[in-house]
Amino acid sequence: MNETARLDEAELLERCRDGDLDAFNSLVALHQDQVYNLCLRMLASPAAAEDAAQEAFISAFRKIASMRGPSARSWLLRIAANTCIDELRRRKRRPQVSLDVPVASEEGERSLDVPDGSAGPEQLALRGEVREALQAELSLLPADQRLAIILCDVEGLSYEEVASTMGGSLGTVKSRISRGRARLREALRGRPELFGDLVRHTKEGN
Amino acid sequence: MFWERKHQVSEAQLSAYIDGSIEQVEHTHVEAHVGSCASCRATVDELRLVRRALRELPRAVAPRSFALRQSDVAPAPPSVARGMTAAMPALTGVTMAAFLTFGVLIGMDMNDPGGNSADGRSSALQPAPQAAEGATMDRSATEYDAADATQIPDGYAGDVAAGSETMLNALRLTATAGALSIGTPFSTPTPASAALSDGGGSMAIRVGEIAAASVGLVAGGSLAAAWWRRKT
Repeated sequence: MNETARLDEAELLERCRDGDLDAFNSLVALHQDQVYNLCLRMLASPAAAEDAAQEAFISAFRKIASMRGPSARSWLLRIAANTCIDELRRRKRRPQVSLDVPVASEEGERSLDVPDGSAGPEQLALRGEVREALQAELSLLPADQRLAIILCDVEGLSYEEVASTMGGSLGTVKSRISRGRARLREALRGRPELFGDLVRHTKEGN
Repeated sequence: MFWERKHQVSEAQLSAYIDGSIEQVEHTHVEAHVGSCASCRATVDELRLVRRALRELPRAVAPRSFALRQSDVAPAPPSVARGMTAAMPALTGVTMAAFLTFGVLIGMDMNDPGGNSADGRSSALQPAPQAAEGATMDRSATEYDAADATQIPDGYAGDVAAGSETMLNALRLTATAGALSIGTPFSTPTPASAALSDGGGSMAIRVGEIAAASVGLVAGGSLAAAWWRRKT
């Protein structure tokens, strides 16, 4: 990372607002992994995530003058989240048949178990299987719950940060996270062999 | 157990509880309940498992740098696609101008006291004084029209006929402008040729319409273009 990346964020943002592309790229370098991860979890497709992340940064640069709020990270994640939601809407309007993308459904209907076709589940370690199942279940959550869960549980943001990223009150954030977790919990309970692996590390659930 | 189904805490509270994101008073209350309710304790455990599994999802590294190049953010690279996009509002302006002209013509027609636009039909033997658009060609057209229109009862029907003809002309103009706006300026018949190819009607009116339409098109188009340039 070059020396500009170590600059104080405020100074960096100041330079970004002046249209300094190098300064903006330092910001990109700082946050691109998190932005990409968010896109990857939202869209469940590396290719789509890459496109969305790039689109989000371009759009962020165009809007940098209107940036408000204390945190560049929240702002970037918010733009990325909106980009992903747009993409999900596009998919919904024009459902695509794709071999590597479990088609994300905003309604969350239980359609398929979405096994990854590239490797049979039985060849994966059990923990890998849990991950696959979680990602598949995440993709079935409504977009707002999915986003809240990804920001809070996957990315580790606080409720306040989630609220400032997504917009909405703390109460809304709490409820989205709670409903999302409840659905994931139910989904895993429906697959005891997966849940059992998780439970093994703690005391028995019931 | 039956009474355990009547929980005093919601799942939302349990979810916030495992994050430590509830008020102290609420926290104490939830904690007390969870301590005495096996079902809620199980829920809490499962929620913690879900949360832990989510947090342990492998983190991907960006597959490449998303650093922007100057070309990603250049204001207006001169490419055909961008040029077309920039031209669209102007073209839309052209179409709108055509519609405006259409509306104005209809309005003129309605307000006309049967002299000008109803032309030769209602006053064959004493050609109405044509307004500014009156041209020498008008005479022959009017006379031709008059001869042709003898069997048409005068008055209302003639007005209607003339009105609908003006409407047709305006429609033709609109259609032509539409064709222009989708980029076939040279292969489409111009309004003038469209009007000329039609035998009936008054040439003067058509020339007037064409003039008005052209002014409308040019004005609308350049206004839209200016607006778009200022906007971007």
